Amino acid sequence: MAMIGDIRNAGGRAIQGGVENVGLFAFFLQAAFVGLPALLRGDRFARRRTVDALSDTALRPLPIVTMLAALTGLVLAFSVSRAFHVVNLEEPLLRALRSALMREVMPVLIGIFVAGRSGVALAVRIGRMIAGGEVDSLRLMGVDPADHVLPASLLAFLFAAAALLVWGDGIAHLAAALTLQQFEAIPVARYTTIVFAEGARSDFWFGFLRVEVYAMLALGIASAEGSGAGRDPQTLEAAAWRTFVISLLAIFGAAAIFAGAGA
Amino acid sequence: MIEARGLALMRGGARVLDDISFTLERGQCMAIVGRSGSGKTLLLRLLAGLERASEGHLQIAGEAAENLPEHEWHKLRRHIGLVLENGALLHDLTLAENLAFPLCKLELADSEIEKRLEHCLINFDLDPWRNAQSNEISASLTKRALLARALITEPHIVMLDAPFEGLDPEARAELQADLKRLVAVQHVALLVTSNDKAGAESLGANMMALERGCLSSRQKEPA
Repeated sequence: MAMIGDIRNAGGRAIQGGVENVGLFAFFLQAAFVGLPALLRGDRFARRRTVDALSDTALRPLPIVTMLAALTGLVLAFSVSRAFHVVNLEEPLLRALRSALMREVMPVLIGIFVAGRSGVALAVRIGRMIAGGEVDSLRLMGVDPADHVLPASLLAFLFAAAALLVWGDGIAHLAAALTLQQFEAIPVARYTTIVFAEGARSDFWFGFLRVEVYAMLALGIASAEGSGAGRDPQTLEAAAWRTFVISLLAIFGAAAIFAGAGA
Repeated sequence: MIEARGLALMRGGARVLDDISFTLERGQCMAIVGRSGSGKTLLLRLLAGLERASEGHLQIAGEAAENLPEHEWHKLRRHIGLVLENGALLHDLTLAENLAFPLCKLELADSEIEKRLEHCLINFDLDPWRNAQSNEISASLTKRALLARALITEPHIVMLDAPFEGLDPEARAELQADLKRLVAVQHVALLVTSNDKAGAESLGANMMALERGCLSSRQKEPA
């Protein structure tokens, strides 16, 4: 039985490694071989489109991401602090809090945020470009509409998801540390020492790669739904809603696969 | 320049365009007249490769075009300036950037792009709005900007969908004179569609009538 358990764990780790590598591909390969070259060979306005897309995807959501991350850190810190009274295992519990935040909760939260805000906006934009004749204009000027829209969005989604995750992780940990200092008298320095000890880097990278997968799922679904919206402006609302719902299902499905493979 | 033989387009099981045949050479002007819904816009879209013919043969600038893949059409469309009735400027660019956009694709030197752009802005009286976002300008200015954008690359084939629609008599006369000049001086192959027979006649064009997707009158031989 023990041997079967070992094999299962080894299999799980291999799958986990494979699935996490999808995130690595999503980020580095797409940025290096799809987004950046398309940007460089694009028209003179391509860089500005990318900066606009980045600002829209990464900077504008910052206030709400900050609030959500702080509340998430606070809620998880309270949950952990209740367990302190039941079991006196401060260090493992804080490490579990770190893993939950960095590997699972924040990547999903940022993934949902990118899908719900930037994914829906991209689907609506593509739909509007089709309905409003901009796509025809691009084709008439010898420009592939996908080349015009997607490289900037791809880079924006990749970098914005990573940047928002780093920011969100920081804010969530700050909120958790302050909460535990206030209510459990655990000094921030002690929290920092425990949380950022062994395993923190691995948790961060797992979270980082997961959020890139979620961002790519959101981008793919938004592009497909926006392109399929057709010429009727009435169908845009439905496409926006479908983009959000399908992205949610895809992100939670992927999160379940990641969690299951790592269990 | 354009040779269409037996072109047909099916939509939802119906033939929306049927047996379209004509030729148009450089320095010639042709007007396709028909009621709303007769298929004029669809025909222009078909000739520019925005729709794919279900049957027939289409030759553009000496190249068989009916089965060309989209990336080949991108190259071929550099010979074509098409202004659709519901055409749009790119919303994330200013008016001047919209005009410069197709020039960037021709890999011209920056100085040449600037020269053509300035010339175009002045010729089409668009200079005062050069920095306006495309969603800030009126419909008539948009129409003028679309025409300017179609002509700035100096295409050999110009196709205009209902160009006289909504113009006052003065603007219409001005446009007619400009189009005649385009054909006579730059030897462009000009194809216009119109609801209005008189407007098309004043261009001195070969007239063809499009009715329920069929060209119902024969092309006149050039004088």
